[in-house]
Amino acid sequence: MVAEHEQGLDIVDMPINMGPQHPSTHGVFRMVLVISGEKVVDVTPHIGYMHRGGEKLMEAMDYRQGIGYADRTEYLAQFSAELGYCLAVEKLMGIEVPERAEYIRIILTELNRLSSHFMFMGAFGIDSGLFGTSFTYAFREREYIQDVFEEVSGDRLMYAYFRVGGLAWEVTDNFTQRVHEVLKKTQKGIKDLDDLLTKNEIFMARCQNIGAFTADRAIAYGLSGPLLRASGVNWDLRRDEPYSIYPRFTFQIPVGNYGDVYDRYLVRLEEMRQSVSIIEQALEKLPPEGPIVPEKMPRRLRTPPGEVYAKVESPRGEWGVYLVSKGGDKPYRLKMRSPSFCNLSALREMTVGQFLADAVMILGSMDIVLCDVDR
Amino acid sequence: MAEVIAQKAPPATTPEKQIEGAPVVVPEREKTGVEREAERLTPAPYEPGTALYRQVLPGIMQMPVDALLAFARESSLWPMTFGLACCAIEMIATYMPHYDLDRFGIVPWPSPRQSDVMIVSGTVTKKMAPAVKLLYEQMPNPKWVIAMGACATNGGPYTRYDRVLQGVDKIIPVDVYVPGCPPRPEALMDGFIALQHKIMEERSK
Amino acid sequence: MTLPDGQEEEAQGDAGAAPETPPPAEAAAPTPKPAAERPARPAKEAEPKEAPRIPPPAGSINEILAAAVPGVAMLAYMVPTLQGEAVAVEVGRDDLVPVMTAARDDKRLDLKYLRCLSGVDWQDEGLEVVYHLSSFTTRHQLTVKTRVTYDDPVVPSLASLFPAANWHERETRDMFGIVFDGHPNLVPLLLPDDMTDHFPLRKDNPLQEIEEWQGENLREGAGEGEE
Repeated sequence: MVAEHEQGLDIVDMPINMGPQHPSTHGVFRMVLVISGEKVVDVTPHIGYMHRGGEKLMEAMDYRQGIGYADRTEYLAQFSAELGYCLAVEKLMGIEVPERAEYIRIILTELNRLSSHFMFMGAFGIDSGLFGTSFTYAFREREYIQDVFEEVSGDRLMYAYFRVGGLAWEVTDNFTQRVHEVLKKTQKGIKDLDDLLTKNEIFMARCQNIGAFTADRAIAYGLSGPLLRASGVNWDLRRDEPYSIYPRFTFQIPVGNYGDVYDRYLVRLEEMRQSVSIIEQALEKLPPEGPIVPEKMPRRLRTPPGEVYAKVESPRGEWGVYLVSKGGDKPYRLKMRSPSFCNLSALREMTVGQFLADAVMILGSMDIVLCDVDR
Repeated sequence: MAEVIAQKAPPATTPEKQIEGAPVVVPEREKTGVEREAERLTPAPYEPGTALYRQVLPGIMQMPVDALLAFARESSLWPMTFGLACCAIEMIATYMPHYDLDRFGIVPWPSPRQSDVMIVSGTVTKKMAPAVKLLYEQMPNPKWVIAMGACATNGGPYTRYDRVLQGVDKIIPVDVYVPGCPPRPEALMDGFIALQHKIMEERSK
Repeated sequence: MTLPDGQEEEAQGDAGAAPETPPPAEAAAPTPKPAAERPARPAKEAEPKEAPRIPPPAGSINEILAAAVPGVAMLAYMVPTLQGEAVAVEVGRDDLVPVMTAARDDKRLDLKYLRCLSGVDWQDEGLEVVYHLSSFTTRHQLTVKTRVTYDDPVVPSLASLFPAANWHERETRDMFGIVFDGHPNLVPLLLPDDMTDHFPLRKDNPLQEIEEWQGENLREGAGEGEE
């Protein structure tokens, strides 16, 4: 605590507690900000309010039950989490996924990226002061995408549709047609949100030059995903460490200049457009018929002993699964490298020196998912 | 009405008969289609004090006070925004225009001091439990709790971990349990309607 | 719950072997036959408990690393990744900081990006900390492992070298009880403050079975809560 005497007045820094229940903390997250006037002097994030032992529970579940836990950990980008998990197990077991299943996985994962970024747009608009407009627009688009997911997998939020080796069951007959319809509506939705937010003076004033983070610090803190790209590092796992069949698609990686909150927003907006392009390419190349699991699929999924670190590009960053197996049908140790956890560790350095109102914007721009942070 | 229409049309044939204050008399002529329609559609003249209910129950509405209060409370439940985990996404989707909870009078409100319902949506861990209890105690009476999802009901898929509270009913009393992982927005609406029935049924408590 | 080995599918043998690693080690004595009423199936060879360690080919980055930190004993082998294989290196606890400093600062390696830091509980063999590093410029990937015993679970902290390790080390301490020496702020991160004494991810803290939980709940009269 710093006390200054100025004209007989004592000025001290005030600690303010934000959370764990707060309209703008995106979940149960507690921040203790020490502010001096309006400037933030120190930030101490307290997490762990959603620590539910996902990793411990996944050690007790076999490779089919674990997919549900991967869903619930990253509850806005479920297909990315399922994909990471399935890829890790498939690598250890040496299973090759059939072509049609790969294409459908990519289509669904990129649609999930769209819906997750829509959620970000909605929540971020609320953080910047739009009293609910962006949220309602965003959820309208999410409902269209969720309809497709529900037709395919049966659930609105926790899909559990990917399986080790491919997919759980065949998609609906009108899958490609439905995805085309949804893409048309989504493009209009992206344009709506773009028109609402991007050139909005108040939004720009609230976002530009806030929370700037240089590329060196971003790499040192282990940031990933749109935060890393907004800081100027040209790195996307889909292109630089490709997995599944991403090398077959051409898409561009948006990279920002300043690493501030506005750049992160723009990077995510452009990523949505690139995702639409990837989905269109995948729909063209989708084989109309084919198996969705390999023929010689074992009934009990047993991995040989070994370890693997499988990483996928989720909408938040690098979602990694470090799987250690000692044989048997359950993992021995499964560590989920969650992007939100690593991104959140840089909160302190980003926020110190900014104003109190901007602390909320910085937290919103990180797009964290609390179950992912705490697992 | 007929005389109103007649007064608008200037009496071209009898200007010398216009005396101030005296009603203008127009000679008979055939009525136009518009006038005939206007006559047909004219409602009966209303005289205050003659409505039916006044003759039956003059000026009094009779209802038990507790039913009236219960009706008022159930029609305007304001939940505190308390999204913990994945169920929060479905809760937000229920507020959004596709499944609209606002038509039931349910408006999410951030402050616990001014809300009626607490929707516990998500897993309650032991680290979060004191905060949940504090928030519940900050809500003024009458207050209700909806445990949304399997995690708030009994721990859900994370029940075997010892740092997870096996259901939020271990620390606060719950009125409605909505099962599902996560429950569909229709299920949450059903939970609210069940809460409305419960408020009306238990109005004398 | 594992089935007795006698009930395995024939096809299991094909999918079980990973094509990258060579065939598993020689089988031990065949497992005993199942109960008499089941039809006799060929006994399956016992599955190996450890993945075989293939040394990395010549010219891999472990040689650069060994040249950068001479005198450090390290065991190098290959581990699978989604893109092929990568080098993993096991070092002793005391050599960890020089090795990681060399990995980060050496221009040929430039492994500045700490992706993941996790702990693993090998029960009899101790506790292990695994670091995954990678580089944006040279595109190298390296896994560094170090092992400590239960009696002395102290590992030097890398928070000053890699700021990313700060929270990961706090989490590993919460979950496994490994103390990171030199960490600026080793307070509990994920666990509630009053439950940090036993470490969840250690194998000697198993999850309770569902039946036990339900039995407990029924005894205590769950669902009534406090009024």
